[in-house]
Amino acid sequence: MSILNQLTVVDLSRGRCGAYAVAQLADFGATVMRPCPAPDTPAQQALHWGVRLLPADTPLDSLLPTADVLVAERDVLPAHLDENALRRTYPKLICALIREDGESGGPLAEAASGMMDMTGFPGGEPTLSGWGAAECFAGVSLSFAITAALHQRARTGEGAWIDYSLYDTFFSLLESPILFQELQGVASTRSGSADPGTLVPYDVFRCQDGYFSVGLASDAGWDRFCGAMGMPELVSDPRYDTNEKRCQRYGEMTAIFAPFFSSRTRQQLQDIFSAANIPCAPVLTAHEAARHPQIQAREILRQASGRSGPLSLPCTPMRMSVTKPVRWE
Amino acid sequence: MKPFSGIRIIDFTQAHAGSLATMLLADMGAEVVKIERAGSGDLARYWAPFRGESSGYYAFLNRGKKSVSLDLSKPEGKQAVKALIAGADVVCENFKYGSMERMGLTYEEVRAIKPDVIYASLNGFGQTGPMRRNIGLDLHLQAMGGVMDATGFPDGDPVRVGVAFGDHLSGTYMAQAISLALLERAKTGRGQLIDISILDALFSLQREQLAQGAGGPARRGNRSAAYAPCGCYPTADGWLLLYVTRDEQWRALCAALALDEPAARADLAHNAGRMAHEEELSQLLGQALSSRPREELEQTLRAAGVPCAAVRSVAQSMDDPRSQALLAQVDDKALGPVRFPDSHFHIDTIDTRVTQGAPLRGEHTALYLAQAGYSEEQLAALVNSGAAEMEVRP
Repeated sequence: MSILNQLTVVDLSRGRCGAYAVAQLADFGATVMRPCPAPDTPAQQALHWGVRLLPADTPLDSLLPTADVLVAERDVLPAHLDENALRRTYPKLICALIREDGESGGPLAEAASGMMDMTGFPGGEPTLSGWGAAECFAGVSLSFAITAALHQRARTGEGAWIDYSLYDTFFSLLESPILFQELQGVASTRSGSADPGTLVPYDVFRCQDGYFSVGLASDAGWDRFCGAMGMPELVSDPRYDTNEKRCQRYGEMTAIFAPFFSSRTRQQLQDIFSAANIPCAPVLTAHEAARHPQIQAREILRQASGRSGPLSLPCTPMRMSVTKPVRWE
Repeated sequence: MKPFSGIRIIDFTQAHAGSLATMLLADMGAEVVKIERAGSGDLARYWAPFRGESSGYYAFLNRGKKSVSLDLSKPEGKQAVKALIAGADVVCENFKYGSMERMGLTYEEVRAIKPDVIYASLNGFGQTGPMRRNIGLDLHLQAMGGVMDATGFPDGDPVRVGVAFGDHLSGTYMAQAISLALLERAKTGRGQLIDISILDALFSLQREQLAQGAGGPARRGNRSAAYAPCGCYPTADGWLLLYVTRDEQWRALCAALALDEPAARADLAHNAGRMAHEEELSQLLGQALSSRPREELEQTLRAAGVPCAAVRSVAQSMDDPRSQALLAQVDDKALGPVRFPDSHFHIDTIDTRVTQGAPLRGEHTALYLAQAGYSEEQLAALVNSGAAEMEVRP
């Protein structure tokens, strides 16, 4: 029993946004019915974990009368179920309709919104978020709109029409460059992992066995950073002694820091910077993250039975003392 | 009426992620009363960009909220905040681990004041685990959470997603957890403790990668793991993202670009064959697109049914009428007229449009303390002792 166990969701979505939206609901007990072909790859299977597959030809009109929520890209709805028909026939239904196509819509929205231009290295190619992360975020965000609509329905008895757009969602992530443009007329673009307009050091460096991130949150800590690298002479060097000066000499600074990292492993760097109380972290693959003591201690992984053996997949990250997610089997 | 109208949040959040959570709830009608540190206020008040002395970032994250300014190191200040908590449905915080305990405001202590309170905490690593005391900035959490390793090109360095991705994601999860906890309270009458970690939030997006198995390169640049041809190409005047997922789109692409020879090749007619020839297709398309103007290409290809988009800068995107409709125009008390991203939720039964700016520090101190039973004299004494502040302009 979990808090959404009375909730019935019909999921027609093709893309990650819909999949992540319904996954948030399924994790808390919602019955998600998906009249779609079975997922054909392990990745697709994981994406649609926790849903109940129905024959792809199950008529929608047989599912919607008892459904609370419908999630779909707009273009997959049959022609006879347009906004008017759905709202009239199922006045209590919460319809979450995604504007973009489920296959290409996410990447195209990253490109058109400005998000893609903000990701990648300066002078290099603009870059999509890896494995559709932006679109997965959009799904989590959509699930919040759905539960908000559930609250509203509890008060008014009315369903809702959620007109959801990936473009709009990604645009809403761009507050920093938008405000710089709006308030100071400053145009922003991608700057790698660094933020040389605001903070130095704050970057990712190549090291012996991968990559390592380190960064200060403000001017404070520069002395400890230099000490940790065994370069105490930098602390009072008048070329670098304020964050502002370091920002202006970002390239120079990077050239000074880089060799320290390239000759050490992630673990060595972690030990050095942690001891100096400098925020830092190794760049981990998803599989390394899954084995990391912090992730292990958080008990976020659940066993799932995959086609080619058991899988360990992340469940909801919402840890709540009373409202518990369902366990999968 | 909005979904969270009538829900009062006593909000200790500051900086980004926690403030974003209460921003989402405020956009949906919650009454968010931000407790700001007397003398300085929210950290985000010091975040660029500024107009004059006022932060645009603060205005964005705190639109529509109230501000009560208190010194919680003083006993009178702490007493005042406890009086406010007595009238709260939700208490939120995103300090580093242990801060609420030092202030005598743990879940147990808050629950003693308000038994059915929903108490939500958020920070980089959460309230449990060996790293709970560590400070993690967005950069470090993207690094550890698997997102960075997957972003970038197979032959290049990993790179962070160029927005405050972990903050937005974890803040959204926090808002959603509070929404679920309010459903729980409506059903069972029980409050609860919520514990959100930015690292967990980012890691929760890795289902596909984990199912895929380790070994292959996580980074695919702008190519797709499932379809070809997909990629970003330089045109005569900027980048164009092409994302062909279906065979008919491939045929349309060939026709629109007069690629007669590839169009006739049987090995490219289906996605599997095109995946096997990704590199060759990439070179072919690079040549076909490099000398043509981008807008014209985008129009031509779209008209032909080929999924593509010009990669626009934020400034270019802001000029688009579609984006302009997504910018809230508010008259912020500190900044004056300003535009920033509006709520991205469009729901026919809920008016989510942002119409108000952010509060001045302490703007609502008098209002809320009066509501909590403080007389004018008591309030004046509180202000004189420095335990409370009223309406400070930057």
